[in-house]
Amino acid sequence: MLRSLFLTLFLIVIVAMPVRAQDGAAVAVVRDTSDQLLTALRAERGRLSGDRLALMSLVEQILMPALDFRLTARLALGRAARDADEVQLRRFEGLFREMLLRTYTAPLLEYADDIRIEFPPPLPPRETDRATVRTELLIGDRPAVPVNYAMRRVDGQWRVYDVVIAGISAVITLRRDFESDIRKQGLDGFMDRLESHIGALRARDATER
Amino acid sequence: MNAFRKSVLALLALLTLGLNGCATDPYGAYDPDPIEPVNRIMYGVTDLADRAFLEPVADFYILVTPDPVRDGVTNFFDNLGTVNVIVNDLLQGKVEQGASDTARLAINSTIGLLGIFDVATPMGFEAHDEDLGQTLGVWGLGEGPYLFVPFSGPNNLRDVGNIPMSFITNPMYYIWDSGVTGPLSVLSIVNSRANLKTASRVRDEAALDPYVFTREAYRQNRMYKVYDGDPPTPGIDEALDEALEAELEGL
Repeated sequence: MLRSLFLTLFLIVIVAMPVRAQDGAAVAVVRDTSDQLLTALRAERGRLSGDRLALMSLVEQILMPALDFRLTARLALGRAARDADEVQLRRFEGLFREMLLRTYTAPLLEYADDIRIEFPPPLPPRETDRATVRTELLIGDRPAVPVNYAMRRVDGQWRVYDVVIAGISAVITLRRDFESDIRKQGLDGFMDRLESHIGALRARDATER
Repeated sequence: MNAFRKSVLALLALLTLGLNGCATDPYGAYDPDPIEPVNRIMYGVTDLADRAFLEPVADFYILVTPDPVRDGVTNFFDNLGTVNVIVNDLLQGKVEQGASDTARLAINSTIGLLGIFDVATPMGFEAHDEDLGQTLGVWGLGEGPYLFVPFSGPNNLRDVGNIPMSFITNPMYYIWDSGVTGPLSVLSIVNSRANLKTASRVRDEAALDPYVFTREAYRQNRMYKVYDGDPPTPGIDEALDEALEAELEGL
């Protein structure tokens, strides 16, 4: 009786261990990256608030190793990604990255001092190479905003490919947004429009200094 | 009477048709936004009014009120909205949650000085987010056609009852005093808009088509709320999720 209980416990531990280890590794990527990012933003606030390009390149340097950005770009592009050639994919990735950096870095810096990130118990992993890391974003005294990171493991390295804020997936929302435009004017026409959209952000950032 | 009954039946049939929005093929059959041209006009008008009046007022409000004051204002209106939450807790059969929210309302309305301070959360009575649309969702209704309600915002046929429901459950409108209720209503609107400042900025910058961006963000967020933060799929459409899965597998 006792032996079978012991055996069962032993088996559970053996089976659960690799799963926990992987999950822990995915959580660690999110935790380390966000720690590193917030620390850097807080330390260099003075210099960064007046220099948008420096802010963007700092954020890019810290985030990119933790992202599977190629996958994010492909998913955001949707069906058009299948027919796109390498040149088009590269162009889109570049534009997409710049748009995200120009959009999200300023609010990030603004809230950096007040942001706390907590890690509720992780969700059970869906597959061995896919995981969702749950976090709660706390800004000041405001209610926690649940932020989930969809991650994939490639060559032993966990990387984020989607961010889901209060149920709103960045990939799905942008994919829907892009999709209607791609359908209307084709992939190249869409990218031209994206480029002129970014042009407006560039102009704004230039006058902001 | 007969004619009345017939028209009610017709209306019900229409509603169920519209609300059976569960079939999903993002590229084909299922269209979440069948009246898009009308919605786009409503969106345009609302956006124009927002940029001309509400947003500048909200910007000024943010400028002149310190953060703690704005948090207090937000708490005050959230507390008034708790009655709506309790009613919907009960409609969804969440009795324990309803009891907790009732305690929350009682505590914050008294010790929390009319709701300005949220003292209930640290005491273990955390806020919940329930409304009529979520209740109907829990009962099994699909989202139905997307609606952009002028001067209000994104909505759909299932959730649109939230607007009258939030009025009739708000104590503010029972203690009617034109000297107080009017200014309070204005403050409520301006404060809500101020709380959306970061979100609207992101929309302005990240979206190629802010209309689609708003719609898709709204749909996902509502799905998430109906399932109390734990939707069966990460996205809104099973077919889209399957497409994502297939693309992930194919890499």
